[in-house]
Amino acid sequence: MMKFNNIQRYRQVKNRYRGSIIVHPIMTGGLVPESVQRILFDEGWIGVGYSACFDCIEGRSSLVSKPPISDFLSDIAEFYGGDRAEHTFGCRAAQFAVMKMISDFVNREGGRDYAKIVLVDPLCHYTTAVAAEVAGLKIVEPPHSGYPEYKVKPEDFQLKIEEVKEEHGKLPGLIAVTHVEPYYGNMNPVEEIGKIAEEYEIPYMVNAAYTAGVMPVNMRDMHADFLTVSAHKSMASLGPLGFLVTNYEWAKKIFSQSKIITEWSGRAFGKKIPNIFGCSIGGIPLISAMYSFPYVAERIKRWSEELEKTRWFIEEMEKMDDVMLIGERPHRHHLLHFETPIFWEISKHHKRRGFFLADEMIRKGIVGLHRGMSKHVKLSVYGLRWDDVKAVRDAFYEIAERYIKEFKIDIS
Amino acid sequence: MKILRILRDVEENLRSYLGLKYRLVGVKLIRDEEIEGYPRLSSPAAFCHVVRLASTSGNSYVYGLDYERCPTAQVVLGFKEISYLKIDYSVKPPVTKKVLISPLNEMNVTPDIVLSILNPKQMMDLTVILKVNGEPFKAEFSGEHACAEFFAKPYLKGEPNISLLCSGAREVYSDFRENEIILGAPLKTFIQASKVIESINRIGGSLCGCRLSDLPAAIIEEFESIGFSKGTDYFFGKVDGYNVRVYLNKDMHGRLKFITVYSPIRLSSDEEAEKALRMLKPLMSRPYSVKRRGYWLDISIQESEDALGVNVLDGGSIEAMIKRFVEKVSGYLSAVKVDVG
Repeated sequence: MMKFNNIQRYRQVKNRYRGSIIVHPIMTGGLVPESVQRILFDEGWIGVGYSACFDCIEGRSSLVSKPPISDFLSDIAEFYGGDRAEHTFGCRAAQFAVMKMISDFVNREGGRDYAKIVLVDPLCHYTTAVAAEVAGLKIVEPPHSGYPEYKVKPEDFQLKIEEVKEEHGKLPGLIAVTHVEPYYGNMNPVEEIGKIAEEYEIPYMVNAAYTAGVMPVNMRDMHADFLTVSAHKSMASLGPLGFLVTNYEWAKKIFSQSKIITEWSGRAFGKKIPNIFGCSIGGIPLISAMYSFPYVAERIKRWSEELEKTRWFIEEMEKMDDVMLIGERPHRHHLLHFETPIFWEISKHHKRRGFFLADEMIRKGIVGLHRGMSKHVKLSVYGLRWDDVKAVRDAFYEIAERYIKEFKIDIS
Repeated sequence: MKILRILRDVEENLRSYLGLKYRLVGVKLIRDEEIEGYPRLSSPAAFCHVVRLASTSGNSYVYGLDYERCPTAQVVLGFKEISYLKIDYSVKPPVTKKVLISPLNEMNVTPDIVLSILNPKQMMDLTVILKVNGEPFKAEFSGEHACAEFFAKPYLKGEPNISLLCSGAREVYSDFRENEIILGAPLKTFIQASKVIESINRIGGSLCGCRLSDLPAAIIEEFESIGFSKGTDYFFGKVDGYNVRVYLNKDMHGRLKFITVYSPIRLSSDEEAEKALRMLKPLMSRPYSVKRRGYWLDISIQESEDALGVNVLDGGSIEAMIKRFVEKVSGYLSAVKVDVG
């Protein structure tokens, strides 16, 4: 039998970072506005796990009209330039649904024209690779340009398509491209790749986990068949929540409803959608996304201001010795990746080694740097007030200055 | 207690890594009459059977000679000597009073030997780990006297051994399955394996827990030997005041094709960088090139190993090539009067 020693300690858990300035790139686009936090509490949504399910008549959360989930999903689809949307257990579940459907599609009807291969950008999020793995699709990648910009070229996608065609006599079953990749914050040429996908008639998925909800995103402009979105990364929502947006052509396949009839009891689940595990989130993440939606729709109009802030911060960071942004320049996204040899040098002298940097920042009330890393820093100042952006910059300056002096580091 | 924590870590690491359904088992020979806190065996059984019981049921057992059914085990465990039984490994002199057999993480004493019931695939995975810090794993087994192989030999020699078991263990006294074998080893071997597993689990602890490159360890070592450090998928260092970055380019099929050496130079503004770019371009000839990124200038050289006279598995040749590069960069910058300081 399991031994429950001191389980009361779970009730003592504190949020160590309450009130801190958050700079983690997977968090800044997901910060829930205070007004939304308040209304979630005031309206009593947080008291029930499946708070959206009281008035479920049709047996699937996306069909619920009170609260207006069904309308909300229609609006989400329109907002991103698609025809239909379903909410999912995070963006990864949306990607899984696409890959699984493609795998089934190739098996059932597309086997003559398409191979069970997905062509992905070489810096895609790990969830893209894992979704392909789970769905039994092989991954093929075009190269990127390498240090220092790591950019991909649309023509390399075309070369890879031709290569797959030559080797297998078939086209890749799917092209999946990350709108902004998660390592260097590069914006991939999704429109150009979309045109190539269209020419070859290859289904095309854009993973907009880091963009949809922080900047204007329209899947029609991208020539995309599928758009995968992360609400908790980029739509000021509680997690886990994602959206899968598609057009009518593919909606029929990817959102096809369950056909199974159980062998003995004869039960059936006709409204459930197998590719999204039947029925998705029915609780507070979905409600929070609805409350945040007007705020999100408004904030994307101010994307240029955010970019200006981000670029100012890059310049300020690069005033530090040898610190340099890696990735495309001019930078077009809030996810920033700096190489920081100066902090690496300090870490060699510091008793906390590479952990010193995140530790020091936390002491200054700034959280979100990857613990243990000092050679590289990944962060975002998206959504921060100018005062806070300056505080983040000053914190880096102060830490560098202090330890260069303390450890007598030669920076010449 | 420290030993408890160690045993729990070993159990958890090994079982999760190898996918073991059953528990690791610790065995301790007792020379004093009494040992407290463990249940006695309710009826006689063979040592190998009790090991399997402890592993599958999670129960602990203590018993003496009177409860040991198998004559081989009576000798192997050092309960007694039997003159007509020839066994290669047994505990001598026979002064054992009791034997404690327990799931490893339930023990509050240090076990003499730790046992793990494995299938061949799990054994293969474990063998790889046990090889990491030393010689390839060597085992000695005969298909007879399983307990001598999995317990007495490790106990006497202080090193691990595998037993493919014996007919006693598979048919007469116990019911080991056809795909089960036993590894026996001193605790230190399991602790070592546990640490290797922990370090394997830590690999890839870079950005978001993913490995960002497949640069071979041997190449990384060569760069580190000349004072360079590995970034995400490139190397960085400083030579004569110049920042130097080395990136190994792959072709479309992922094969190493070129080496690119960069020196990123920060200028005060985009305009200054553009001005310097215009002056530098006419001075440069292939394979050197210059590119502007905002207010940064990248002076670089991209060539094959052969063309650069470099072997990426020879730090000395890399160092010499970088030195030549830096001298060239310095010359270019002096010619256009750009100060990197």
